[in-house]
Amino acid sequence: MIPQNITYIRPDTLKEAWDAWQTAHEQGKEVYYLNGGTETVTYARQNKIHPQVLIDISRLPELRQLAEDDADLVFGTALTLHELIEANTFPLLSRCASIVDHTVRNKLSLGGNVAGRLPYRETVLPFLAADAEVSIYGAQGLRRQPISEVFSKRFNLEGGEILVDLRVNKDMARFPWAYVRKTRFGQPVDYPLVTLVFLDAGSGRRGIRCAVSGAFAAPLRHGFIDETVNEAWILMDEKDAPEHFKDLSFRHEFVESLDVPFLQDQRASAEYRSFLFREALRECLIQLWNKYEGKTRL
Amino acid sequence: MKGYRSIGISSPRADAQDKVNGTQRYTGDLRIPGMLYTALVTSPHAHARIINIHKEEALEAPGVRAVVTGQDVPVRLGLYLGDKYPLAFEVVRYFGEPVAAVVADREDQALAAARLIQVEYEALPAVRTPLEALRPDAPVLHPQMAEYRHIPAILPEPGTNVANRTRIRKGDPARGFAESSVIIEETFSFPPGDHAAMEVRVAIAEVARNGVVTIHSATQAPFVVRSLMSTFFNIPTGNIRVIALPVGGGFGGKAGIQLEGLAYLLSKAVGGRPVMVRNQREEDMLSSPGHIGLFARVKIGARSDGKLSAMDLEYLFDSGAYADYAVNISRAAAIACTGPYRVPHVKADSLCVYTNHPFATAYRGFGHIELAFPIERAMDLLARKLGMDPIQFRKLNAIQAGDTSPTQQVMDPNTGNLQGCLDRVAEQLNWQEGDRIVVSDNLVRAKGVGCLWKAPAMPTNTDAGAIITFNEDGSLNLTTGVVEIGQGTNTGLAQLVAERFKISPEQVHVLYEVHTDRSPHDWATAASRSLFMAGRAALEAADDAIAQIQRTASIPLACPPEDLEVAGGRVFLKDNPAVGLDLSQVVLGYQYPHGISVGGQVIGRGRYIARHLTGLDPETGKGDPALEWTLGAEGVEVEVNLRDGSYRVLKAVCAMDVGFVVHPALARAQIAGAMAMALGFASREGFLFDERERILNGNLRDFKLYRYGDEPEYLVDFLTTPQGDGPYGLRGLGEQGVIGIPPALANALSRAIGVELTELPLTPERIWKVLPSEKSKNKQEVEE
Repeated sequence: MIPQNITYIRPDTLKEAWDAWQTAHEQGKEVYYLNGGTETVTYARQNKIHPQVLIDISRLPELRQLAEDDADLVFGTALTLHELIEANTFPLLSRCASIVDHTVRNKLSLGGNVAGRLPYRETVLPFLAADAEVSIYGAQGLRRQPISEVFSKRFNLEGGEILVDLRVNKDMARFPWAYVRKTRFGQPVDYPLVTLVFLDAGSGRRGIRCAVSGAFAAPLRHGFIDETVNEAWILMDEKDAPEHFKDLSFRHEFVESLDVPFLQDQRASAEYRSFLFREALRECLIQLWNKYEGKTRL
Repeated sequence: MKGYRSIGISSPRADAQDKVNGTQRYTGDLRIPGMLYTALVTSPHAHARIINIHKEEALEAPGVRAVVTGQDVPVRLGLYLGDKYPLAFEVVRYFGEPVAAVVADREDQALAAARLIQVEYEALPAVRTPLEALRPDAPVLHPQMAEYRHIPAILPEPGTNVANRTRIRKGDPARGFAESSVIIEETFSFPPGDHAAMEVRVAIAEVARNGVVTIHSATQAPFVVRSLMSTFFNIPTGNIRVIALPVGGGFGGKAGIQLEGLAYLLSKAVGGRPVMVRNQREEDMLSSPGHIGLFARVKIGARSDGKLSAMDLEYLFDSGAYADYAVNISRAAAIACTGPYRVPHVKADSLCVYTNHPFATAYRGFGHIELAFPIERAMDLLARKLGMDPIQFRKLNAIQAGDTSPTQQVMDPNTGNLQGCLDRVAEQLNWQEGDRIVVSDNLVRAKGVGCLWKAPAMPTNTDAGAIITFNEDGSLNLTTGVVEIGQGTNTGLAQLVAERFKISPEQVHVLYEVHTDRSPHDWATAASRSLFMAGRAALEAADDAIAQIQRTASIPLACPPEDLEVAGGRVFLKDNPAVGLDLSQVVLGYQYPHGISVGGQVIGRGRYIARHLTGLDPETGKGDPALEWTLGAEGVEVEVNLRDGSYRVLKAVCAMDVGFVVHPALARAQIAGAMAMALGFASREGFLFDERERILNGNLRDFKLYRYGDEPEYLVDFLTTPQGDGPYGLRGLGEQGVIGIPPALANALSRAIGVELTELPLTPERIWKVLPSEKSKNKQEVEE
């Protein structure tokens, strides 16, 4: 039970939502946008947040979009994980959305997952890998920006700004991918110790793009990881021997030279996460290789 | 089952529809007119002195009727050892300990007001482990232990942190070790954790103007609650009514006294109005008791022929901040300390030790799941050292009729067939193909076994009762003191009675609520004893009712009562079944066609009291504490990834000698459920503490339980060496399935990786850390 009176507002437009947030904020109220509600309920129960005003943006048409234009697939942030999986227009996203259990996936929203308080936010990984664009509603109305400009550890938004949708180039959404997720006990309904995705945009387009969650304090797309993976791929490609992959491991020195520390908490040591991260790199490379079945890549 | 009509079949459960449809009404669903709600303030420290509690702001909050602290109600409660205040008094001894309670008109008001209470603490150093607690310079957590009320069967050591020490001295261990050609010594441990029953604990108390106290509680032990309420609050026993609706999972965690005392005190604080105390999930995990932790030292010697010669055991139970129920866990573990083996020379000290961890209570397996981990791991170590097959080694030493237990109780002719159980497990695991099979480069399959034994750990005068009444249609009502906790005993009891009446079990209506003022007395729904003891009582009640039916029917049928048989809803002449009456004509008295009536209603009564039980000698542990021993063997097969330590359990196997199976489906479900619970316990459960002994995983997001997707294939076999004094030869089986699984899993994983694992839970990271080849793998390079 949430032992608190809450003003619930359900605006019809983005502007109304924005205005409602600003008003509540000016009144000194603790205000949140409400989407799927799974985190809001949990944190409020646990006395970690004390929402006085909740603005329900889960039915705004712009946030409910599951559309495409000439170039892009558009994913509104009020889509539930289940809806993303069902639609399956971006297979790597569907895979990343297959977390928790079905009941929660029916509620948990894309926006809540990519911009929530938990450090994992696994559905942001495909968008990081695909160099997505995001639509944000703010003081000047709607704007679009590359994800790399607004996402660093988290979405860095101004107070009251609304993450409206994420957009991915259609070609990008169809490229071969690989996915590895490792949890403490191997059960899917748990936080990841590492979730690693590869999206292979082909050699002419900066090659394999990697994004990782769980291993570090926040989801990460990192130039050094991309470079290392692409170097490894080229080397293996030259050898043209799947057998070789079995023994493939990444050097300690590689992860040690990363400028981002591995997460250390009650769920796992930094040492184990580092190991699993390297295992995941190896397994993703093998997965990707198997997708080509030995044929030359795009 | 041959020759029987209503037992040995899987009869439908009367409560199945409500349970699967979510319409079963539990205590937390009750809404008593005028009822108030509560919220707790709990300690953020593992050990601290309470300096001040500021409750003024909370008292001003909307809807608040009372704010109660330990200072207001300084009374200690407990079943075996009265060591715990319902609200901390002066000192908090664990993270999550309740320090104040708010009573309000609505639950949200109570919760909101609880957030307004400020508590000032002075942090004290926390005692982290039983070993630390036993050091001479350790803080004494219960300096007033000498004043605590306790049962004579436990032996507290005031001035120390030892709440109970049970000693076992059998034979001459020094000689036993001198005669041993192989000796192993090892330590084993696991942390405390939680039961995580689906239903959180809840109690509702009210005090009527005439002094009658009514308590609704999610309890396994309504009569224990009544008795303790009387003892500690000086209420005449007859003025207390405890009502137990079906409970949403007990697992031992709802035995003893839980929230009832607090609910009563809070009701008194608001003039006797009904007050509901219901745990939040996190409180159920942290503030209410969980499962016990253990540190064990094991030394075992065997002769060159593989026969066990001596054991020297020290069990240090981590009871946490309070030891009320846990003292008896340490005692039960002493009684069965060697595991089900013939050991001529035994020295064991089983200690219940205070620490600043959450406190412990009964957990399924009660001392036996705990002791089995060190013993069955050690048996594998010893077998390995002797060069013997672990199953053959266990068979060679399996306890049998005529052997003596650690308390020197002679195993009677009812003793089950442990060797037969081991054979069945070997077969189900396909042991002959080997216990370690390489699947691929990094993958191996491995197998491990563990034996179990368990007798109920209960007072020597433990009893049960049964009452049978009748309805106009001739059907029966059976009332016992057994609480439905999910186990389904009521279905088994209906079957036993139906068998005597030669009718279908559906015609026996069992009352699914226990009311201490109208149900017959029953110790507690614990110790896997209900079908045995309440079953004996129910059979006696059935026989008593049948005799009354025969007597009444003999009048109109004009024959001696002994000429009559009762079967199929009729009473009739044995030698001429056509001559008889429907039970509906007899059970409420027989009425002649002209109106005159005879006989009166039939009320069957039955009772049972445990026979031949004695206490233990305080110096040697000698005594007869066991009503009946259930023996069995279990095993698991795992597939282990040797790179990262991850694994899957492929198969979990149990063969148990249960004497007789009344309800095959429920019996199998009890054991498969127990194996699942034990796999969770062994593989992932257990509290994680920070450097100040605060719990890091006190919620179900982080405290991971076994889920449906994790389940292996369960193979359950029953052996049926009859228990002569059990109903139709049956023995208890409710808890036993948990006992052998943790060591079996650890044995299999140790076999897989070639390193002896000695700690639970067996997380992949823990395994990865000790993988022999790991370091070199880390260094392998992409480039050659």
